[in-house]
Amino acid sequence: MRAVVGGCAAALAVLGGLLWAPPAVAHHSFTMFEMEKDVTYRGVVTEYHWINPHVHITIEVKPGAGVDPATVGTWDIEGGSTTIMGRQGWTRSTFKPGDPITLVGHPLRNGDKGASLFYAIMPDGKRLYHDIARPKDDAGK
Amino acid sequence: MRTATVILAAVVAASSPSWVRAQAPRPDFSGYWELRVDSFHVPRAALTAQAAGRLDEQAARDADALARCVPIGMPAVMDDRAPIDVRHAPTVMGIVAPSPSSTRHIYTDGRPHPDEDELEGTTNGHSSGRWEGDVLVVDTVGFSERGVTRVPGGGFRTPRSRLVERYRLLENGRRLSVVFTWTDPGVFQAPHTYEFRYYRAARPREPRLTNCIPDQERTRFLTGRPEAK
Amino acid sequence: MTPASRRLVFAATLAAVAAALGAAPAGAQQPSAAPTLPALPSLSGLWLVQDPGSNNWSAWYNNVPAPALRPEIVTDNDAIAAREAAGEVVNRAPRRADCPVGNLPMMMASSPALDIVAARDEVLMAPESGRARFIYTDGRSHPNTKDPAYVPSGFGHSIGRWEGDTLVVDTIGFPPRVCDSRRPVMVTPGGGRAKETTRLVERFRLRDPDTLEVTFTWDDATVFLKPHTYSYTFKRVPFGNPVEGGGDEPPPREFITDKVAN
Repeated sequence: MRAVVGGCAAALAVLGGLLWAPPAVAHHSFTMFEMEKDVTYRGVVTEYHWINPHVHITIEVKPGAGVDPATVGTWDIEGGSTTIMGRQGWTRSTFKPGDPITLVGHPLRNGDKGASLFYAIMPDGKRLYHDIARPKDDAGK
Repeated sequence: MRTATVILAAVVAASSPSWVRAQAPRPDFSGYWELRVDSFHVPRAALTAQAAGRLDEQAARDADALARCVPIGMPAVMDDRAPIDVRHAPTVMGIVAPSPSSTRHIYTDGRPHPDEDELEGTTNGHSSGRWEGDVLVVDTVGFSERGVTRVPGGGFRTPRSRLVERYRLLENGRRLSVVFTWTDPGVFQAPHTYEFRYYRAARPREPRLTNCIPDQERTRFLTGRPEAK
Repeated sequence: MTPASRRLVFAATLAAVAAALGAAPAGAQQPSAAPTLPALPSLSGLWLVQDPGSNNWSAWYNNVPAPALRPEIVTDNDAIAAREAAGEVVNRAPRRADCPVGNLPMMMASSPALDIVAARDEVLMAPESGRARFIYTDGRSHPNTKDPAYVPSGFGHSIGRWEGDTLVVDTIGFPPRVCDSRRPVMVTPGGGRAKETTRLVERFRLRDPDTLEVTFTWDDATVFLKPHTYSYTFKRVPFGNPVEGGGDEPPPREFITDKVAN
């Protein structure tokens, strides 16, 4: 069982504004992830769960040219709620098992194979972000 | 000379009745609207055998939705226990019900419904409106299965349902008539039509939004108000 | 036709066009006493807040000019941060029917787009198709928020007025506490608080048809040493349709995050 430290803040943040009372403060308490670190994962989608409170993408990264050896393995990539990601252009059919995928995420601090999604890089080079946050070089896009 | 001809043609077009009517001020449906005992004109719906056989199951799902305080959705938001808040801007009309629900948006900016493969079902569906004179005709598709699905007169909404509403003001704006017509071949043998005539609330209201519908008020969402025979 | 004659015909034609546009034609419906749609600055629509490059949402929420906070608020912020670092990130407050609905500071800074319906006497403002905050522009005053009959929501009570092309909104009456075990008092960007003693003034102005600027000024002598002001830029989502959140489907297997406390 993975670390249970909850990062459901994202969904709670949405809920706080959307319907339920408990406001979503820690939308955004991502303390269990190394938010200052961006890691690129190149692999294949094995599972794509368009669900709440968090969208999850499971990817398998195999060794190969251009692949960071530290990223080899099976990873659970956590996104935001379907509302937050839907606004950024994600849909329930953006990915499906078997699709190649390149994404950038912030890995778990405890070394387990999990990461918080920052953005996916689509075949045309466009970035599909998790939420409104942008790196400085892509601000305003 | 060519310029004058063009302008003359524009004058002719501008003075055609339909063009000028399009520029006339549109009714403003904004206000707090409440339902009273005499607001309902609801005939019994003619259901398919399949739908009739599913009524108990749908009622149980609706009761579960109420208990879990999920957004009630259409058509329940239009039949809420307290006045609904309608705010009408030139390109969109928003409707807020005090019960747990998503805000309803009716777009009048000419946008079509999203393509079917892009349409994520919602409890209120996707609504686009157009004017027929002073009547706002609203077409809604893209419903989900969440929330309270019961339709006044019988039946329930499904992802395949289509709803057409006709909004018009009566009595110099003192009353709002909304005629609802549901079409869903899996539920209704024929389009099911009923009317609500709301009263404008006598004084400004400030809706108190609630997280959940209290136990003692849930039954009316499941059985509805008295219906016309 | 001489040039002068042509100019005369042109002017006469323009006058005729202007008359046609202004006149009600025979047979058109007569204006009724019922209200008609007003002309207002077009704030209506879906607006997405723009991050200037904070790199993640947590950093974005605090990417505002630093507020001048009272020492006890600074101490409380440190305690919150320590609890979060220790893993206390799941809301364990009981989910009660009387929990205040909404969280204004969070909503105005969040990733869901802001859905605005700017009508005659009231402006609705919701996160996507979520529960709306109401901004009353019909000239009413705030209620007595100290009256026990006043039930606060996380959106407070907002009244607005137009100053030319700017909607100026005054909000008071936030709840003293909300149902969140991690931050029982709403936290504003930069680390302030929104509660029953707080006043917020917002100024909404269109920089251009697709760019909305909102300036926030928080004031509360029990929180801030001086009023705290910052601005956000929102971009219109053309013909955007709001997204409905929720969905109670449990994840099919264990994922990183803990289950949401029910």
